[in-house]
Amino acid sequence: MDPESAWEYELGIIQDFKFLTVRAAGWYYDIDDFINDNGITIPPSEGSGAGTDCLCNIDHVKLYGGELEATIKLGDRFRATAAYVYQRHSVNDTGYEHGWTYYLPDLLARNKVKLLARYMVWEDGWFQLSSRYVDARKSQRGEGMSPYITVDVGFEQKFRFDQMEYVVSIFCNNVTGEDYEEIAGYEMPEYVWGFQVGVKF
Amino acid sequence: MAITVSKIGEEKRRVKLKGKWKQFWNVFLVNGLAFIMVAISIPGLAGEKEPKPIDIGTITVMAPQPGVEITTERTIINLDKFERPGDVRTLTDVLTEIGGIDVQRSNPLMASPGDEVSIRGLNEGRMVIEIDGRRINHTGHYGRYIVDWSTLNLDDIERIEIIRGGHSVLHPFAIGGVINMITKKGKKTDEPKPDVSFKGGYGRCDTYNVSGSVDGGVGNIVGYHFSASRGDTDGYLRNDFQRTDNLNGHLSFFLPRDATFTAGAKYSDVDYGFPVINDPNDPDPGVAARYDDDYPKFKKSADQLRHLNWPQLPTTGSLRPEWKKHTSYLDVIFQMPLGPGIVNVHGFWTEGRRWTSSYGKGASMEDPEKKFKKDDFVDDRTKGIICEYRDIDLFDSHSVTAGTEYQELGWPDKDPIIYNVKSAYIQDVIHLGDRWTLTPGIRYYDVDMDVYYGWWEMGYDSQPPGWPFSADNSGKTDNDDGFYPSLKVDFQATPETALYAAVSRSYRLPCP
Repeated sequence: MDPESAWEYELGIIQDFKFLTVRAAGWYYDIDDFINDNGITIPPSEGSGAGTDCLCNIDHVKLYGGELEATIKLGDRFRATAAYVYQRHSVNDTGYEHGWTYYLPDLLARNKVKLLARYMVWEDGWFQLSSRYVDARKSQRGEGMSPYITVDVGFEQKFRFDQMEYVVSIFCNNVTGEDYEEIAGYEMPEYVWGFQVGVKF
Repeated sequence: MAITVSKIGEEKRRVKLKGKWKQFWNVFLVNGLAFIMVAISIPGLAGEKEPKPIDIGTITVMAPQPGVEITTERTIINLDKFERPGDVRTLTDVLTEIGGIDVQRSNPLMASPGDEVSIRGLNEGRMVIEIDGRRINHTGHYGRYIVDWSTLNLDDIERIEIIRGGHSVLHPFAIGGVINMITKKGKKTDEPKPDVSFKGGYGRCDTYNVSGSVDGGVGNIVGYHFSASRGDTDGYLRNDFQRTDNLNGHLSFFLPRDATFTAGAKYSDVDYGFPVINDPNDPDPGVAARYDDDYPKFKKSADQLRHLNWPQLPTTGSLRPEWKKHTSYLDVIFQMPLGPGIVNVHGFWTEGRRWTSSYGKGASMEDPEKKFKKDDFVDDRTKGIICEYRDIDLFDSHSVTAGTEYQELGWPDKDPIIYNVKSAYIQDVIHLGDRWTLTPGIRYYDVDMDVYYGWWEMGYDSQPPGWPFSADNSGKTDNDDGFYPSLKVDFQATPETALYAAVSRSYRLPCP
């Protein structure tokens, strides 16, 4: 088993338009002797299935893609960030491919978007929204997994009393009740609610 | 504006200078420490470093959210200001909100050992995760638990720095990038009253957390930070419970000549239940009969991002699949201005001890005990030392950092030193006027290792009985060394526009 190394190339820019700031980057990685580990999916019939017994080097795995991130600030009340990532990869054949062979980058989506926004409803009272879009991708067994969108919301209030700072927050994650799998084989929960209280002095 | 990047010369990989380099290492490490001790004792040499940074003009920074700043080099997250809907207790809570980072969570209620984090398609096996600039990644033996995200609470973390890609030679083995957690180490103050905070929360699936911290100093001589927390959840999958207790402590001693000595400890105790199969259509009739519709379906074919998380049978009591893990992160750091730079010596130790109770492959409800291992013990240990002379201001335009690092990574119970890593690095940040910055660097690695191997590559059609010890030439020792260069070019086109280009060759410790 040979160690792994990579040539990596990246170009990027940050542009500030005052109320809008944009970051863009593109990258290309060429990984030599990529160590692929299929110890998890190897069937019992192949032996004890110990992970270290079914590693192999892949001559080249290439990853490439781009990131685009933008943040907008409108006054003191509203701020939002959106981040988009596109990524792809290619894998050389080794001759050791089996029906249960998989590659870790396959488990990640080609297209992803994250959104995080905050709006000050009143003094020290912030409404927050976080949303994620994850495109289709594969499971370890090669089956397709559906894209999904989740939305998390929360509200946070800070206040001072007697030289102490208090914070109270409530939240509900996956507030739209999206049925989705983040890891293949089981669905993630809906309406994950909760609250937090804290004090500093 | 176009940027031209000079191509670094052809790689000279595996230059066999082992004997020479081994001597170099011994001499470098011993002499490095001696140099520091002598330097401290010479009046007038220590403390000459002016706290005046080189003026590099304007830098365009992106500030997407409170507490988050992005430059062309890194993303910095200040945790006292960072906000999101929901709790911020562990590293994965933060990373979930950062653009370009994938977090695959097996339990959205709490960070768990089965989580996976990736940057640009490369997970923690190809990233370096650090506390105060030192690597905490384990070897990944016995389960690919290279980084256990459930142990990385943020109670004592001041900020997180993220570098995408392997363009910084200051961090070892960083093909995919760097996630560095900077701890709170107490304050240099004569104000006796410390900053105190308490926090608690409750949520779905009987999930709760409580935490407290105290941060202060005594007489401008000692700074301290102590914190403790507990998180607990029933989980939403069947048997997906978790309890995590954390204790953290840091003491800083502010010495003459602006020197500081810091000792820190993080301890985490995790009791985690492996989710069990919950499927009325499971081919094992004994499993199907135990389906409980109070919980979501969990199929035998579910992906497992870690090796030990095999599909577990739905049994309880003495056959309950779970693990208990104790993890300690210990650090001592000495820093002192010396001449035009700062000396930094950092000793570190990570100890992970886990007791796993789980089913092996092929387990069946016909005879569940046959494939069940109770309290199977495995430990991980990473220890090492970094000796660094950093931020050396030269000729008003150079900021040089040079250092050496020694690491041992292993499985104390079976193979105490799986990897023995010696590396050295040098980086220069060169400011050419107000607009151009060049950052060349190079890192050298010399790694002795008990390598992984594949029976496929040994020419076997299937795993030979008794593998690997039954086969000739399946021995596991190897050595690798080489130089890995990096070059980054920054161009500040206008006060509002920053452009950069980078090329680097990076190296990965050969773990799964």
